[in-house]
Amino acid sequence: MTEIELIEAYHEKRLSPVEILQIEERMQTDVAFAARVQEHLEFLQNLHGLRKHQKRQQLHAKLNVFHAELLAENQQVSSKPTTQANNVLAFEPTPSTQKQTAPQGRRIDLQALRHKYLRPISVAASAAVFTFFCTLYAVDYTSSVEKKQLSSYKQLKKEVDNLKNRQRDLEIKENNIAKQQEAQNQMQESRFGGTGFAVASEGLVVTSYHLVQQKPDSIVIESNKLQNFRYKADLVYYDEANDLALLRINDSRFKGFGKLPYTFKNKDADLGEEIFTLAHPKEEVVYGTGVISSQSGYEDANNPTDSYQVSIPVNPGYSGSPVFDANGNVLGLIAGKQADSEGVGFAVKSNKLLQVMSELPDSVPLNLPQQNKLSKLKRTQQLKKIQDFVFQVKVY
Amino acid sequence: MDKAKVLSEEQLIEGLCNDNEAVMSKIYKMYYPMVEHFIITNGGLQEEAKDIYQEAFIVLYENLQTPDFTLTCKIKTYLYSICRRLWLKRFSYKTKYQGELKDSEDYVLLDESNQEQQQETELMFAMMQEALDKLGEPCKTIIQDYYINQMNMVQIADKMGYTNADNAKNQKYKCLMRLKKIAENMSIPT
Repeated sequence: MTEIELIEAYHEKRLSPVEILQIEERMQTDVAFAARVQEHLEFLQNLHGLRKHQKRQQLHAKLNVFHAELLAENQQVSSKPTTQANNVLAFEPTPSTQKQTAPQGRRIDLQALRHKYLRPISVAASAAVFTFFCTLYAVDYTSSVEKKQLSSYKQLKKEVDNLKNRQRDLEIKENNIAKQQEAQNQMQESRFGGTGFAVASEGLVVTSYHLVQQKPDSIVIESNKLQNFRYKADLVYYDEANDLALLRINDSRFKGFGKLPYTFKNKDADLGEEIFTLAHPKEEVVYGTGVISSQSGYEDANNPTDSYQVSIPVNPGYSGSPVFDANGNVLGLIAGKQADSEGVGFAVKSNKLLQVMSELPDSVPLNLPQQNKLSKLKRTQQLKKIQDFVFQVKVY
Repeated sequence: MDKAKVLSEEQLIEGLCNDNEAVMSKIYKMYYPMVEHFIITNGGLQEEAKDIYQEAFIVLYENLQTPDFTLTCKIKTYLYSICRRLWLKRFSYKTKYQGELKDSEDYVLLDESNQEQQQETELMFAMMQEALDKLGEPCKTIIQDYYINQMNMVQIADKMGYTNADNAKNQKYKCLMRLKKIAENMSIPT
């Protein structure tokens, strides 16, 4: 008997007590022998352990079969709810035959697999056939329906037209609501203020009427460029239709603006003319550029031609901002924007502004600027000059 | 459901212990949806649900095969608990997520002492299996039959066509030595 066979016999407990004693005594004294015994015993244990491993793998294969069955059954249940989902026990092979076939390896396994898969596959096939005939039937049915549909086509079109009309009505309603909301927004905005600019050196400032229409407690004109420039102002005149308001600074400290650097254009600006604006959406003045994008303003206004459509970004606080052409002539004043579209602002035309000023009562002294001092200047220098005449209008 | 097919918990356990494939299939299909739901609500995929569930099922099966194991809760709860633990492990590994799992079932705390060891031996077995596959015939069959299927030398001699058990035994010895050599060569790089 070789050493390996001896160790194996020891492992399998086939040795006599005397032999066992001999081995254990030798292991005590011979370290190398003990190591060899230990090593082979471990090897044998691992080899025996393979039994568990193989069994586990077989089980795993079985579980995969169950899983495939489960998926097939689920499909079967969803397509044909009446088939039995729980008939597993009745059709499964008995465990005893399984056990006999198991050790004989792959070929038998395949047979078992086929046996197990036969049912789901046949079910799937029958479902497929069923679906095929259903489709055939459905195709036949739809072709017969098509004829009926032809006759009802006109009616359908009319219905679509009706729907269209109804939708248009809805849109119009929606627009009205939007306009109302816009008006409300403007009212709310007036509590925070907007922009105004000097129109005459006597302390006249123009702004949007909607800023002051609620008869505020006080109106304050403020400049963050000129030192200590914070004066109370009175509403002296307004034109609701054109959304214009004239304010006059009413403060004994106020000594006048001095000469205004810009003039007012009394002709319509050309389409596409380059324009710029200065506004006070915040404490600091904000510069914006754009073009005259249309010679008429908001379509639904009473007199659309009294304002321009401008492509200047317009935001709350811009109301009352002056719109200048490249030479620094005032073309108009920002009044509002279209709520539902971007880049569509509206500005009241300067000739309307001039008209309003000409309507002022004689009690209000007025010297309109006559000379444009900006036309030869670069834009930055223009802005420097203009800044001193653009103010925040704060309404309390 | 047909009355005859409704099995009690005891019958289910008995079926699992006895390798009753029909019962195993039934249990498998009964509780898979629960686990799939659990895994998917906790950020897993269907494929992961299948893996976790099968691993848990194997744990349940193997535990039931060991004589000193008694199931202290329902099969359903036990499977759910194992899946929960496995998923917690994999999920926290995957996402470093330490938060709470969303539970839909009751669960029990499990003995985790032999988890790490199990993975190690699993690797060992895989290696041994590979060595065995490399051995070639007739050695593979002889080794398989003797050490794993626990047949005796007489049966093996009969099956493999050796004239007597001693011849078969000699052959088996040679095969075992070859297997050892293969296994040793395989274990060197690891």
